[in-house]
Parts: sequence; C-alpha cells; structure tokens
Amino acid sequence: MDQSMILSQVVGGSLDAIAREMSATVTRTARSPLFNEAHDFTTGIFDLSGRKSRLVAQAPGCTLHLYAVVGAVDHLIETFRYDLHPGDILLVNDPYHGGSHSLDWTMVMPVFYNRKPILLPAVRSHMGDNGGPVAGGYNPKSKDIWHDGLRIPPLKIYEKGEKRQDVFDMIVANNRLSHWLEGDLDAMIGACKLASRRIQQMLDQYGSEPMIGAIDERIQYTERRVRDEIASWPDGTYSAETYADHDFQGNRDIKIKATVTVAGSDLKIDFTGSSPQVDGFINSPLSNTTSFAFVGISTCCDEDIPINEGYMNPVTVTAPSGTVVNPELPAPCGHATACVGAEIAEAVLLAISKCAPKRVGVNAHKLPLAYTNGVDKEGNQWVNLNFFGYTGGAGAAYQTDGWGLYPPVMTGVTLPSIEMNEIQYPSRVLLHEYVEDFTGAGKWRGTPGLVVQIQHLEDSSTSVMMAGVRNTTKGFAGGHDAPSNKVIVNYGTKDAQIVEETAFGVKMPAEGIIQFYRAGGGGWGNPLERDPELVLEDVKNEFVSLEAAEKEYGVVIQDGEIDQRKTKKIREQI
Amino acid sequence: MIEAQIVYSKLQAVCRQMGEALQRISRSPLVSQDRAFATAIFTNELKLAIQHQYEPEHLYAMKDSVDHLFDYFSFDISDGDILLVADPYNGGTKGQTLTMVAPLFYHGELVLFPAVRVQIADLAGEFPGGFNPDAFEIWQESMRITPVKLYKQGLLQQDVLRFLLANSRVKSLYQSELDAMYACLRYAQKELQRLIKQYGQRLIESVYTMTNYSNRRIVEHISQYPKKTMDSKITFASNGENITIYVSINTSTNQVAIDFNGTGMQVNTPVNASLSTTKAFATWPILAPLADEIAINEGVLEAFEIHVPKGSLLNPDFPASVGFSTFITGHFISGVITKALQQGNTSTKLYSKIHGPGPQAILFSPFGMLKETVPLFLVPGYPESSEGWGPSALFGDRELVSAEELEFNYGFKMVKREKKANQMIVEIINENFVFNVITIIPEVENNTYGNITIQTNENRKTFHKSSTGISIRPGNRLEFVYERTGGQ
Repeated sequence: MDQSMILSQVVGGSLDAIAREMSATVTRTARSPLFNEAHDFTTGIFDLSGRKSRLVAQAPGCTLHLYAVVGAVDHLIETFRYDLHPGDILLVNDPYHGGSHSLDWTMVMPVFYNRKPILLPAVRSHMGDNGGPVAGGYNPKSKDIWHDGLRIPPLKIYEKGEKRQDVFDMIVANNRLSHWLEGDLDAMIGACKLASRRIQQMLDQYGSEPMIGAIDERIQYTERRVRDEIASWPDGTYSAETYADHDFQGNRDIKIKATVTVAGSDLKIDFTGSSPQVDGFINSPLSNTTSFAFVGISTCCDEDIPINEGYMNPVTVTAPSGTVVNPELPAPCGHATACVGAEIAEAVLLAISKCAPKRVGVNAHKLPLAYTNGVDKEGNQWVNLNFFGYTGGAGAAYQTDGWGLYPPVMTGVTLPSIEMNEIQYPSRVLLHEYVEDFTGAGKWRGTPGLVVQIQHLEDSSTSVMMAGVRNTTKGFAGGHDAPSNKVIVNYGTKDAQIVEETAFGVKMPAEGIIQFYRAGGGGWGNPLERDPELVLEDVKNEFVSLEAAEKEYGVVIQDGEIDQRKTKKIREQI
Repeated sequence: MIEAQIVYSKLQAVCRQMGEALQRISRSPLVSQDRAFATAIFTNELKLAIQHQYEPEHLYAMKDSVDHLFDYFSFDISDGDILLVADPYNGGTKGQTLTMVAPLFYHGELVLFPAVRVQIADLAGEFPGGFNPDAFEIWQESMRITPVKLYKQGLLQQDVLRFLLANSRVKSLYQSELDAMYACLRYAQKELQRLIKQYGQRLIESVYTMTNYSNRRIVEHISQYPKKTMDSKITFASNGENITIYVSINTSTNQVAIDFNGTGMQVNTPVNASLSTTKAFATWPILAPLADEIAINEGVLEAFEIHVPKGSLLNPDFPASVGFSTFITGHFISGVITKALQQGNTSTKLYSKIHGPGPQAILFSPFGMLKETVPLFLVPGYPESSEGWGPSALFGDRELVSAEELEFNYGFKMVKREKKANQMIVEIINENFVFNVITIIPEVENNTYGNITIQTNENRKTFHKSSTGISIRPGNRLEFVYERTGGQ
C-alpha cells in the first residue's frame, strides 16, 4: 500500500468519524423524537470541485437522503457562489431547489482554508412540522407545493459567524412545533460547527491540497468498486415498470418506468415513459428520483463500499420534465419520499433484475402512513408519526430472508423505543407483533408482516395515506409479491373505518386506537425451492401457517415434522 | 398654529403622495382599485405623525406593527434598513397585509420616517388570497412574516427576498408590490429629508401641534357623551355557531374607554379578530363624524383606551385564524359600538351605522394549473349604507369593479347590476375559464346579509355561508345579492 493510499484511508476515516460525530451530536442535542429517537436525519461532508459539490463522507443515516442532500448542497453553493464567507450557515428545504419533500431540511456550513471554501459539513433532517395547512406536513389534500408547507429556498441563517435572528425567528414562527424546532435547528447548527472545527484541525494538519488529493483517491476507490459491480452485469438495455396505487386525488395506477442501460462500467437510468406529473402530492423532484435510483443501486453493491461521490460517478439518471419523476413547479411533492420513491427504486431494481437478479431484492417502502396530531394540556401541539405502525416490510434478497423492521431505504433510521415514545407523546403501543402468512413467499421470504395497535390518550385527529394496497411490493426472481397493507382508524368502535386510500383528519376521542396491518416484503426466488427446514422453522415461529406451508411452499408438516414424501410429491405437482 | 398647519400639510402631502404613487405603480388590483393600503409617517419616538388610509383596518395596525418592528430590532436599526412584518400576532390584522418601514437617519439620528401597509394578493396558505373558511390556525391562512429586514444598511437581502417570494403563488406580482412599496418609501424618505432640512425643528413641532389639535377635537366631540356607561351586544354566527360581542363605553374628560369584557371566546373559524383589528373597528364609528376634518395621528389614537379580554374572539390567543376579521367581524364590532352609542342617547343622526358586511367571492384557477395563480377578489356590489348614500363607510375607498374590466381581464360578462327593492343584485356569467370559488358570506340568525347563487349546468345552489370546494366552468352564472338593509 503506497503512502497516498494510506493518507487517503486516514483522511477518509477521519472524515467518516467527523460525520458520525455530527450524527451523534444531533441525536444527543435535538429535542424532537424524530431526531433523538428515530434518527431520521443524515450527516455528511462535501468538498467543492469548481462549482459542483462532491459527497466525501456520510454517516449511516437515511439512505433516501443520499442524493437529495447532494442536490440541495449544489443548489446552496450555486446560489451563494459569489457570497460565501467563513461562518456562514446555509439552509434549504425546497423540493425545487434540490430537495425531496419540504419536510426534509438541509443545513450546510462551508469551511474555509486560505480564503477558499474547501469542505462543507451538512445535515439533512426530517422536521416534525413545516407550517402550511396541516400539522405534520403530510397533506393528502395537497394540490400544489404551498399545500405541502413552508418553502425555504437557499437561505443564510448565519452570516459571517453571526446568527440572523430575524430570519431564524421567521422560520420558527412558521412551524407548529416551534418548541422543538428551535432546539432541532440548534442541534443541526451545533453539528455543523463541531464538524467545522474538526475539519479546520485536519486542514491545519494536512493542508488542503494533500487532503483533497486523499479525498480524490477515496472517491476513485469507491468509483472503482461500483464500476466493478456494474461491469459484472451483462451489457444491454433493460426496462421495467411498476405502479403507485394512487395520488390521493383520485388518479390511480401511476406508472413508473425505468430503462437501465449497462455499457461496460457505465450505467444509465432513464425514466422516460413514466406517468405525467399528477395532481396529488406524490410527485418526485429530480433529486428525490435520483436519490431513490441510488437506493436501488446501493442495495446491489457491497455494503463495505464507502458512500461518496464515487458511488454516483458511473451512473447517469435522466427523467423527462413534467413527469411524476421530475415535476414542474408548482406540483406538490410532500409524499415523494415514500410514494413514488418506493416505486422508483422498485422499477430500477426490477430492471436490474433482468441482468443481475442475484443483486436485487431488498426494496420495500410502501408505507401505510398515518400521522396523528392533537394539543396537550399545556396547549402545545403534538404530531405523532406513528412510526411503529408502518416500520417493517423489508424484502428478501438472494440467500437472505427479509430482515428486521426497517428496509434498507431507511438504514440508519431506528425504531424509537416504545417507552420513550410513550413518555414523549400521549400515546400507547398496545400491540406490535408479527402476523402469520403476511409476507411475500420465496426461496427467501420477505420479513414477516406486522399487526400494530397504537392508542392515543387525548382527543386527536389522524390522517392516513395508504400505499401498497393495489400495487404491493414486488418480489424478485420468481418470489411472490407482498400482501396488501391495511389500516383501521377508531378500531374497535362503532366508528371503525378501514381506510381504502386516504382519510383526512379523522377525529378520534381520547383512547382511540389505530390498527395497522403492515405487510411484509416481497420474496426472492421460487418458494418451492425454499429449504423445507426453513419453512418448518417459520411454521414454528408462527410466521407461516401449516396451510400456507403446503400451499405456498409445497411443504407438508405433520406433528411438527416435515413429511418428506408428501412434500416431494406436492412440490412436483405444483 | 397657522404655520404649524402649513408645515404639517407638507408632511401630509408627502404621506398622501406616497399612497398616490403606490396606487399608480402597483400592478395589483388590490392596491390600484381596492386601495387596500395605508401610508404613514412616524416620529423618532414612534408616535404616529400622519396616516392616510383607504380602509379602516389599518388605523392601529400601522402603529402597532411599527412598534413591534422597533421593539424587535431595538439597538439594531441602521440607515438604509427596510423592515417588514405581516403577522396578526405582531401588531397586524390579517396575514396577507404587509407593513414595510424605512427608518430614516439625519446626521446620525433617527428622524421622521415613512411606513406603508399593503394587502398582498397571496402569501401561500391553503387557498390563493389567504381567505380560508375552514382555517382554525394561522398557518392555514398564509405564511407568517415576523419582523425581518429586507434591506440591511441599504443592501437588499437577496435570500430573504427569495424566501418571501417562494412562499407566494403570485411571485412576480408580489415582487412588483414589494418594489412599489420600497420605491414609495424611498421617495418619502427623500421628501422628508428635504422638509427636515428646510424646516428643522419646526417640522416636528408642527406634528405635535397638530397631534394636539386632533386629540382636542376628539375630546371636544366626546364631551357630548352622557356621563354613564353605554353598553350593548350584538350576535352573529360563524359556521352555524352564534357569537356575541359585548361592549361597554365610558367617557372621561379626555378619553373614551371601550371595554369588550364578556365577549365570546375565540372560535375555530377565521372570524377571530386580532387586537389591532378590533381597536380599528371599535374606534371608527366614533371617529367617522370627524374623519374628514382631522388628521389621523397619535392624537387620535390616544383618545381611546380599549380593553379586550385575552383569549376572546376579539383578542385571540396564538395561533387562532383571523382571516375573515376585517370582512366580517370588523363590521359587527363597529355595529355594536354604534348600537351602544345610540342606546346611550347620543345623537342617532350623528352615529349612523357605518357597517354593512356583504357577500364576496374569491376566484382562482384550479390548483397546479398555472405557475402563478392570481386570485380574483370579486366584490361586484355592496349593501347600501343606512343613509342611502352608497356603500357603508366600512366598505372603504375601493372602486367598484367595472363590467368592462371583468370582461377584459377575467372573461366574465356582467349581465345585471341593479337595485331592486331592498337589494342590490349583480349577475355575472363566466365565459372562458374554469375557476375554483371561495364564498365569504356573513352569517346572522334571523337576518341576512346577502348570498351568492351559483348556477351550473347541473344545478343552482344558493350559498348563505362561507364555503369552499366550488368550481365553475364556462357558461356558469354567479349571482350576488346584497341586502340594502345589511347595516340595519
């Protein structure tokens, strides 16, 4: 290993450590449970190559932020290219300025060395509210971008080290959860400042040129690894399409089409053929579309590859303007990070499955999203995203059953602790358990589906946005698709309501219950090829019923044992 | 006194000229036709030197907004700064009405400076125009613009401007309004500098002389009031819920005390009124007989002491919605004051009813269809004043929209605008476009303040309450009925 390689590893490792330290800072200092419990944010470090920023290091976070943060940083730099100073801290959330949906805010602080901006630590976070017509920012009635909430185009909240208190206060004033937001913004600012100090120390130690050289080397390493992966796929053009259930405005079966062209180690992804932009808030800005395309690609690549700009260099993503995957202002985008984000990744993976089936399969993000809001005894608004109701749904991959509660698209996001949730909200989780026969069967099956009951102890209002009902999460390589999600509000009462597509502001009295049926993921491979011993284990774990073992997997189990003879016979017959 | 009047009239001219210029260069019909704006000049002690307004809502909001801005930026105000605020909970009335202030320095000291208040066509929120019958909190009506500097020491804060414009459905119109407001303020600053140079201390002395004069006239006027409590109540409705406003009025030798104690609690509809709105509509019936004779300045404001319980309809707690306060609630505030004055045996003739709410509609293209959605604020008629001389005083100085303008700009054909018995009826045919319609209609039990009927190909529906979710297509008709007895 030559000296430059060693320096690259040291610098890269240090920057990764700084990104992780930023992440820990945000977790430990933010007020919102979305930060300190769910970790619904991502921290990273960029450098500047001309006017274009490059992702240099990223802490484990929300994968769906991957490219959206790149787009946001680029827009910030482009906007302030003649007006960037040491001590500036920049903020943006606008989907039409490199963002995804306006609930995700990106903050960046340039770090200067010899009067030039060299590196830029950044935090991208999902905020608990964003002003606008509805608490929580998910507005199924949304028909334009202003219905999604406050738009923050590139803005300085610190200028030359001085806080712009008026700008800061105006942002906070446009938020229902101002008591959290102030602290959350301060946490993001703190993380940027901490990273700035650490990076400054590194620049003093190594100098900018050796550091940039080391970063180049690291980016090239990642690029080589990704190119090696792509080059292992046969050249050709592969197309696939999938559908989002609806746009919450009455339009159904919205098509996402991906055409993947493999040419040596280059990969082109073209979304031509996808549906025109729609009335509802599922339109995906180009940054979000690109982000979800990378979600798909990243699940195909080895997990030890460092996440940086090198990941993106071999890949080109295009999407025609005016489509649901690249809408024009003022189309609403509030739900894009779930729907049609999930379908974008799915279409890419379905296309890649035609040339590299063993590399695909873990996508799952079709959420039965429901959020609840109310006002506590002190008069403060609360918004509970009911995380427990829709976590799960990870699909299977080659040689791997779907695992855990979160699919890869969420990676660093963690399931909040139920105890903390019950402290932070007037809510109780009454039930949270796996359900039999509620996932996609396959040689490797999806993670089992869940049934969840969440009770809210105060009068509340719930909006539900269903996905994965008509068009469920796909299986790959012969694996079965996932079953349909289902949500019942006012569960167990005469007002119980099964939500088919969407429900807006359903009133629930104190102690009202929402019941979620969160389907598992899609399967991978033919279920009849699943090792019968694994099927038996699933039966014992109550993931699979005896009937389904026979019907789906062709495995006959009697008295807790596999009937090998009948199993063989049935598998031959099916 | 004579010299003070002469000098002060020059100051008045600057203030009026600001408004004239604004009206001529503004692109928004809200300014050019409806005159939904006010201009003012303040002293360095933040006393109102002179104010010109074309609708009552600005009476206190101008000063209250300036007070909030200077309180917020205290110790951080410089020559060249332009300050903005549009927040009912920071001295404002409704979210879309923006106050812009240009502090002026002369030889390093803050001196007389101008301010302007303008209703902006859209500041995001749920519906274009900011009037949302379903709103129960402020964010559903519009963006909150809390005190912010648009210019800092003469330098435009480009990112702040970008932030503001991004939160409007009428970006280019909004920008032109901000430019117009800014230009008028800069013009006024130059004129004020010239006057300060020419008259020096006499200019400020004239302000205090005329402030005293306005105050004396009001004190003299209220001296006719009986030395007893005059009280009254009025009831109106919002979304079917009855709301009562109580008032008691007492006069001392130099002030009118207006107390709204007993008024109903704030509600979950946009008829709540901010404190500034309440004060304006409460004082206007008392000022109306004098309005043409005295200048609006600090002397006017000082003549009133107004108490409104916190958390009530007329002084709601944040974040209650307030969008309909000036169209609807303000009229009932003025109504209850007039009623109290009349019941107090003051001259009935002197205190004619100046209120008279009527139906209006806001029309806009379907969401997402256009890059910029300019709302049409359609008030094609009016409930006639109780004296029969035209619209009630609270209608403001807006021009009645012309049939030609409606046809030319919006593709509407006005086929009827006529008085009939106790009504004014206006009928309009939509000829070209698809519009969404919001109706804003005052509600009151056992009475009517008019209605709007929409005749589509499928049905004919008359709206007696504020509503959303209405769509009209080419060929559809709108009929506005204004009750001439509205203010009775």
